[in-house]
Amino acid sequence: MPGVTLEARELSKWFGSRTAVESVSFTAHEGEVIGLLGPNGAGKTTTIRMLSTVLPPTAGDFEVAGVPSSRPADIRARIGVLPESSGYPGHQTGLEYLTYHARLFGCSRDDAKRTAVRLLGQVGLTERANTRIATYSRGMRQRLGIARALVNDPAVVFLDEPTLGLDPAGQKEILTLVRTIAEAHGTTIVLSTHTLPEVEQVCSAVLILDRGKVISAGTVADVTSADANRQSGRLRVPPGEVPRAKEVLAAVPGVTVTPDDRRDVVVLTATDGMNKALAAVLNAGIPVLSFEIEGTRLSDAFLALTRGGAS
Amino acid sequence: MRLVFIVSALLLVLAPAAAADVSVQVERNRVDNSVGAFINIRSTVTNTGAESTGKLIAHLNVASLNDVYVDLEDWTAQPTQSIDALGPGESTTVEWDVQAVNAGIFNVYTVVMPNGSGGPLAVSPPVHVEIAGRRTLSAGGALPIALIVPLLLGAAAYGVRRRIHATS
Amino acid sequence: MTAAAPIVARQESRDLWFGGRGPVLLFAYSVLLSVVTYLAATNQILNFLEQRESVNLVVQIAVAVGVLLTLVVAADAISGERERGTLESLLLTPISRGSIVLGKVVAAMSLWGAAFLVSVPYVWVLGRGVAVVGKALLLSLVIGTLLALAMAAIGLLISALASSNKVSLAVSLFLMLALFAPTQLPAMPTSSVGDFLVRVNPVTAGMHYIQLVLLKGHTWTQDLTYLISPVVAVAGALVALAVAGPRIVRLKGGVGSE
Repeated sequence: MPGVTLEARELSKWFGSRTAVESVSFTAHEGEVIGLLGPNGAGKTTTIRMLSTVLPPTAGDFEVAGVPSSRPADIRARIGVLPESSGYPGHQTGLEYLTYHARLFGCSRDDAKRTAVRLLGQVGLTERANTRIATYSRGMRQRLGIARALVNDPAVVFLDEPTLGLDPAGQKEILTLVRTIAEAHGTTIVLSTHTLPEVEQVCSAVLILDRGKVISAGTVADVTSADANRQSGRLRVPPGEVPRAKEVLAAVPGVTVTPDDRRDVVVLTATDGMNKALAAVLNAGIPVLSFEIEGTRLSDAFLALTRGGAS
Repeated sequence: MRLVFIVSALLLVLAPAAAADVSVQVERNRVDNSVGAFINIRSTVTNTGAESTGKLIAHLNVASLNDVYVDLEDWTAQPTQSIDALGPGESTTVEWDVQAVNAGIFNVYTVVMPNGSGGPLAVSPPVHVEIAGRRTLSAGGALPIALIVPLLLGAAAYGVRRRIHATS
Repeated sequence: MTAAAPIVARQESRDLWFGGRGPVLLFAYSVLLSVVTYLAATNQILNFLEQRESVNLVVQIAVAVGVLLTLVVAADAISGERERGTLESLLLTPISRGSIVLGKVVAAMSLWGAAFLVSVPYVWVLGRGVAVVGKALLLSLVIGTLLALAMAAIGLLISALASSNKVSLAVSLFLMLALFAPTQLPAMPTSSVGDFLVRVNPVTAGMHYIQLVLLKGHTWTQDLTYLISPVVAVAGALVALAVAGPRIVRLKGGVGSE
């Protein structure tokens, strides 16, 4: 079992009489990618700000890489953070920016520059190293922000909405980068996001917050199984094959095909499991483009748990 | 103000300084400067008598030695100042910043008189002041500086802006 | 505690000077001094006021505007970074808040240093020939540095406490105007109340001291009491910044916010 790198105990934050985060506890291990989910205002950013020592908790405590929350400067030396909507000094080049931040983490001038060059390569910005950040696209800035979060070779990295405002290609780049960092360096990553398919792709565990409280935690499978309806499924076949697929499925005992006008999807209910239905379609030589059991997606669980995702 | 000057001059003649129990000294006895310059006159007033003086009045005078017209109000807006009572042996400093508005040779001196009574006056030794004609500034000297400095700084600011654009 | 201050100061100064803001401010400053110097040197009425008065005029304007620029840069230092979203990444580094504050004070003071250097040729061209240039420059450096340091520290305090950058700049400019306005009342020191007000206000006290030494021919030590309030202002503002800095340099501005 990899070592514990992050442990939060009963962490709470009140702003006046408003509770932003209430009694959040969880543990993260080396190399683990934890998805921090929740609707807007659920307390994700406040939780990250407390864990990154920017905000003092009202109650509770935490440890990062064995360093207690009573030593915030030491914790900051062991973490990397990409804040939500982080700003960048537009007149600096990417290389200057990373070199400066590496210097703030105690690197000598030469080491800082070497680190900056290496990280720019790691996030795919080598060619733009000497151009002003003002000219970077949003995706490039997010990658630069991730590079900055890595200047101190941190034990834990917090990424707050790293894919916000990015196109699908940009989102994919960032997620690939996140996975690479976790796998290559054994870094623990806490990823706050709204894009749930991303979490399914890269996260080994999730923590769902709603109104400041943890309402579900565990692996993606743990969280989704609680809400899964395994009797219903969606089968995607080529448009011309839909009538034949419906015909084949109707002949399988216990399978009911839901009347539907969709050209390429068949929605079915199987009281005796889905395996027989799927085998019948395959045996009939119908190409299956995709098959998905309803209720097993994280988004379904998320919507169910957070009552529509709005707080 | 001119009346005070005349009265004090008359009193000076009528009451010899030797009879006073207050002495007045000046810090320096000669000043050379040019028209428009400010001259700082500092006088030390000492109670040389055995009794307290009561409140005193110190007055500054400017007397021309070469018939140049002197209007005291042009030289200082406040020629008269009050001095708190001085105990036996006590002294205090009174000062004036006077602006030399005319070229010429002058004696500047201080008179100290009791406030509201006919007691004896004390007068300081004169400060000999010689004021030369005014200098004029050369606009020709200022113009190159006034042009070159902004031009250089403007070029530097432009250079920085260009450098930013060049690396964009 | 403040070991990283030189790194912050260097970068903040680079941002100020190579980011383009510093050179533009300094250019505007030099244009103003050029106009004042040229008028002082050529205008017949000003000319009547004697060479020392021209030097005094330029020194007073150079100090006043130089200090104002320093205050403006300091007032933007924290609230501006908050609004540009760059403060959080600075707060996420292990360096102390003291280092951040000290680095920003040094960067703001670099503007005053540059402003002083720019004023040198103007003072020289007006003051040469009456042996007043050295005295004028030394006065400008000493008094200007005291006032600039006090204003930089006060500007940073305002910037840290303000709820927005706009509020920070508005409050700082109002403070500056309130402190400088009495310098335009020439008769103030003639009454005891007026003299007290001049002495209490560090800006009027400093400016009056310059005038006494440069224009009225007083010795350096004759009116040292006028420097009490500028020195107290510097000490008070720096102590307040050192004590309150770690608590008020935070992600959100506004008094009482988290």
